[in-house]
Amino acid sequence: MTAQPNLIRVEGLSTVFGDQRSLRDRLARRAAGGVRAVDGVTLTIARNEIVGLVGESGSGKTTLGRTILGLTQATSGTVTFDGTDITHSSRGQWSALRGRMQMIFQDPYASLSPRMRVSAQLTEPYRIHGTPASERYSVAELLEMVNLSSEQADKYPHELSGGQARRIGIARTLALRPEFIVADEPTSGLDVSAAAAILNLLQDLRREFNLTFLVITHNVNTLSYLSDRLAVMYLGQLIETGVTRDVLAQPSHPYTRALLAAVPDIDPDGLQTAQTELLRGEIPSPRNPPSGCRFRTRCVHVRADKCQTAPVLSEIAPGHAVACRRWPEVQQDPEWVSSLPPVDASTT
Amino acid sequence: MSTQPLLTISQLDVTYRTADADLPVLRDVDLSIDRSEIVGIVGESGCGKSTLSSAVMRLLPPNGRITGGTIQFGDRDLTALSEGEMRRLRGPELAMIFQDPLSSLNPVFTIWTQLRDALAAHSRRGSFDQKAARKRTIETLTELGIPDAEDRLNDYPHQFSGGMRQRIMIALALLLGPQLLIADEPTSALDATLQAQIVAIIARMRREREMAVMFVTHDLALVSQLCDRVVVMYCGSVVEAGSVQNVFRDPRHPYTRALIGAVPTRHQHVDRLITIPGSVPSLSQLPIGCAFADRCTKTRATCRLSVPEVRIVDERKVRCFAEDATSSYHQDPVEIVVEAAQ
Repeated sequence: MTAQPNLIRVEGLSTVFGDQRSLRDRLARRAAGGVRAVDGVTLTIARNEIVGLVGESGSGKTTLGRTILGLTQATSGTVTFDGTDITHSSRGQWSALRGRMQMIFQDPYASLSPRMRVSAQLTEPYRIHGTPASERYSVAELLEMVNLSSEQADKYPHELSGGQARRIGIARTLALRPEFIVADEPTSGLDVSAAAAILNLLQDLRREFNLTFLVITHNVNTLSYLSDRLAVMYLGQLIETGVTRDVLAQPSHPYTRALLAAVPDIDPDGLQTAQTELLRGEIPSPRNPPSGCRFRTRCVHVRADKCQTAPVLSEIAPGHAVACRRWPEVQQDPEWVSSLPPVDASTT
Repeated sequence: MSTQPLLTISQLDVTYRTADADLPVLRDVDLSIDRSEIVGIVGESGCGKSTLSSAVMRLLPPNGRITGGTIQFGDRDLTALSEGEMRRLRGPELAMIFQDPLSSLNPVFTIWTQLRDALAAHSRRGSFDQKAARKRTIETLTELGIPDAEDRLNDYPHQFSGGMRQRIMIALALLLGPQLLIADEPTSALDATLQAQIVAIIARMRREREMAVMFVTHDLALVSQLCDRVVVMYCGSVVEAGSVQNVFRDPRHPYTRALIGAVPTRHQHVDRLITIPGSVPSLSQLPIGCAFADRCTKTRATCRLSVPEVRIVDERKVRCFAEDATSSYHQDPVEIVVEAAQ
């Protein structure tokens, strides 16, 4: 998989909302105010890879996904898609790119028109893009791709179950034969079994259509099943990235550890794993993030001499990068009990 | 002192009256919760788990009726109490917290006004000591991790984050000192790290105050880590109930197995998650036999003729005819992959 060239390269990407500087401040070139929802993110995604982006609400993961797709304007930094810098594309260029890059939105009902039948929703992208008939999938083909029967074509969104609505949303993104899809919380609000079916479907589509995914979720268990690599986000920045099983087997940023400890995993021995409170308080406001390391206000490993300045995401092992100066100590933390078997046990 | 469980639900039936038909939302539900025990109620949406918690609190919607069975709480049958008697139990004996704390709080009153009124309403007439109540409230809020609790009592609900609001609701429940806390998806709207904090609070309160908890959730992983026992519901019936260790290590009902196999987990790599074919039958058109028969991999002729009785198999209750309900799951690994049939 590593032999594949990068399809997406994000470099130093920032998205700032609500810059309310006065004219005088602007003229004086004072630093931009506002909320730095995404702050200097660098990330690559290889073709046919699934990268999972995980973090709490307010960490900026949805904004990062939207900025990569150009749905939200980047403030600085670049996004390269298939070798071309697309950050400053014109409207016309974007409209050509849209077909190749798609998004599966979080709320499937909100992303479907309540007044259009499924068949019309599925062919709408063709009307918008003026796709020639020879390049169009039929409605039946699109429904089949997402394991729905052709009877669904005449239904309205309110007649669909949550899982079915989600599939229609996915089918619609597939219509334009995309290469890259951002899936924002693809299973939120679904029941256990419907969620499992969507996760299986995403795996199948990746294989069948050689798709590349950025999957955004707060549930790291989902990503352990789905994604090749993990990127953990906190307050607009990536704080740990690496191959999924490496990050899960040896999480090296205190926040990653806290997140893993906080997300319950099925424990067949029913040991009532003590919910050790590895994390204090709540995520600070991105409007006014802590100086230095952004995690230091909640970190159990914080040290005055090491955390006053912002750490840089740097490689600690091949393909495994962490933004923490105290990662060797974090890795040695005796309090941490990994619920994972040794790495080689899960190698495929 | 007594060996009798705190709460014993027997053969409970609940029906919702609709314009078209009477829907049997709960059918023949048996359940017991001991003192200082945490029991998880799991199942997919529409399985009746929230109706069950509303029935215990006697807070069913106006078209909902308890049509059979008993809910024994201590020495009282809750189904036989008047609304006035029930009202006296709610709070001091039985308390409930909901998924959305904001809808349980009035936006135009401060937190203190609301907590004070609730505490005053539940104290004996004329004996409410506001100063002492305020002191206890501040202590409890602080204990639950609300910083500057004294100042924050004068804030309005919108000035608190979701996690903080849920702490306030738990504080209110705890201040009344109930023997049983019913938690209906209390953490579903919260982030993982906040969920962990709230769950830790509930676990601690159980230990320190010997409070029993009925924890309603769709999160099997959470149940496996928090609860002593688990009750799996499908279509208004209990299909499997037992200790967390027994049920998660060796699930016997085909529905429980599929449900556990559908949850992605970190400690075990699977090539494919289990999915359950088909969909939950409509309550207005329940089959004569087992409600899970149309989606089950083990269905035989008998399954469609009558509803299976609850059997005790290997220290847990199972409502299934299938032979292998009596033989171990691990001897039959073939069934691990069930393909979606849609």
